[in-house]
Amino acid sequence: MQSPRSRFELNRRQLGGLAGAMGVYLAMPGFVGSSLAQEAMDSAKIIKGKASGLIVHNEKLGVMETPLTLLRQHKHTPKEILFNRLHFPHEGEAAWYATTDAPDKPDWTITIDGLVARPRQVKLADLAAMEQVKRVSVIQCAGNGRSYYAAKEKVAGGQWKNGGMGNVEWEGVALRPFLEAQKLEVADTALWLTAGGWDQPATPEGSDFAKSYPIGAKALDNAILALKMNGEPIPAVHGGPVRLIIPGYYGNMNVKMLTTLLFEAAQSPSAYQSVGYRMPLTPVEPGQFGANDYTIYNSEPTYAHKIKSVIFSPLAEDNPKAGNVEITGVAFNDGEGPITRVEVSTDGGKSWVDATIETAESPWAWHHWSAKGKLASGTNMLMSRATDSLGRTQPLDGLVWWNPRGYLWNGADRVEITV
Amino acid sequence: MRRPIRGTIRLAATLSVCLPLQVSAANIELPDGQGRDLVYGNCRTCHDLQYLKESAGISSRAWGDILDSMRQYGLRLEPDVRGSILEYLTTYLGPNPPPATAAKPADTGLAVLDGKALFGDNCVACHQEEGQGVAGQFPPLAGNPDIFASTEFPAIVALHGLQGPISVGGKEYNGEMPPFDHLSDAEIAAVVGYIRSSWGNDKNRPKDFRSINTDDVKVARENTMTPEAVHALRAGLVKQ
Repeated sequence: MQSPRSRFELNRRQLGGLAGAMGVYLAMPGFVGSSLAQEAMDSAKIIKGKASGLIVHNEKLGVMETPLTLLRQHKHTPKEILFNRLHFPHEGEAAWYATTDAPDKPDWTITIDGLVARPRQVKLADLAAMEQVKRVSVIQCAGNGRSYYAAKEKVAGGQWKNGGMGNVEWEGVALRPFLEAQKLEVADTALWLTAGGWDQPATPEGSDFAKSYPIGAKALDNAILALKMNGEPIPAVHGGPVRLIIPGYYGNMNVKMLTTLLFEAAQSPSAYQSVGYRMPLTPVEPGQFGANDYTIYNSEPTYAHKIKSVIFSPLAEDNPKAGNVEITGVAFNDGEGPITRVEVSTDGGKSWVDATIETAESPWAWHHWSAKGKLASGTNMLMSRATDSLGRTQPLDGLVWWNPRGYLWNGADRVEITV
Repeated sequence: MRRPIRGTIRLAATLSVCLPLQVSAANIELPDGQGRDLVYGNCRTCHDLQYLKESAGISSRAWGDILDSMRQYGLRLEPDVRGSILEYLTTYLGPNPPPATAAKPADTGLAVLDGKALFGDNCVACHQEEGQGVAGQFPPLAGNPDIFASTEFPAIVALHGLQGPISVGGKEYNGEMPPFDHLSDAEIAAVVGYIRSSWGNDKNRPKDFRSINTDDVKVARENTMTPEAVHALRAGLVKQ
């Protein structure tokens, strides 16, 4: 079996001393050509309020992920280190959202329209006056782990490792009761709910961002119009003043800076719904299925989190010694059933032990787990694999779900440790 | 049960103080080669070049797919331009890139350069074929008094970028122009000359206005500025 993680961990380990000491991380593990080496970009200078030392994937779009050494320190991922991904440049009129400060937008209005007899406009103050509910949920970029697909064939885009995720407490107004109370009189022909945000493409020809969900989707039962993140107004860069949060859904589905909710007969024609952020329904092979071969019939949007586990410790940066070691990490899924088993291996999958799993804070939060193991002198391949109460489990080889846009990596996690 | 990781490092210690966002991050460079200008001129409207660098190593087929998919995100390319960009990406950011080339030969300033071709490679994606710009997005260069603000000013903008709200011809613009400092001194001088003599701009040339030369560009290049500082410089030069 191939080991997608190891070839990248090697790079990280070679640089480990430098990276650990200076907070500098290589953003381009698979990069070729030493003449193109450049200084690591400082995440704190791209989005105001972000910590230094996040792994930057794109400055102009504020794309950055959290090193696991930071991520693992917090029960709820703080705004200073939470991964970020914008779809349009945070420049000019859009510069206001390049900050972890709360947006100063007291007149924010959400328009609810489409196939309804009574369209509505709802103000931020109206939402704030309604009953607020909490949802602790993992939020994760659909591209998290994209770099690991390179072991089969590298795919274009930001080469995310495992840090495009966080465990966050959201608070806001429950979506379904809210929509009921608006007395919209939705037409029977409405089958989709489409969410849109304030942000706009850099050129008039570019597709605007929108996300559509089947109106009956079970996940919408738990969705909220969130006003708070980790107990404070949602930072602008993370989608304030109002973000649609659908617990258990990938990050792109949780529309930032929410301005419109439309009831429609068909899903949005936005390229971000119809071509981008989709997964083929069946496994595909490089060369046989390309980035433009997605249709609404052969693929589906990146809705619900696939079951996943990530090893938090030990990492190569921890320089563990040979002998007994506690292996820890997190596991999560779409919230449809709890994580019931996490298996851990220190010998690349030859033998496994069951980890002890902590009860998670909510169905969508991550479960912490830990297991005892032993590191031998030389190279050890740590692995973890989660299973849930519905019998869903991670593929031992995540490459079976290789796809040309590199989404939804959920292979059994692998960390190579040399002691 | 123990916490997954004991808090040996407190968050406060790992977080930097919130700094004003004045310093641009690293200016990303791609390998020098035929077609690079087209990449610089067309791809940076929506995202910076790190996506290309991080994607380095993908197949020619995958690069072609990416170029085609970018149409939906707003990219408009003539077939020959698409071909040149794809050739560049496949050659220099493909699975088997050539070894890094030696440094560019010294810029003698004597080469005859085609300002129109340079404009087509580097500027047209935003400022458009006839220099008309895109309303509300990218300011026009046709009829834009900025280009005669001083002998060096357009070269300063090209070399160091420009960020901040501006008004041109009564319309507001608030985008960010990235630096095009990968162009040589002679190339910058040539493209500025082309812009100043095209689309009727020559009519606006002030009397006794001194044309730019490569030495002017060299000096402007050495005097490094942030895009915000260029914006401030403009405020002092251009009547709003």
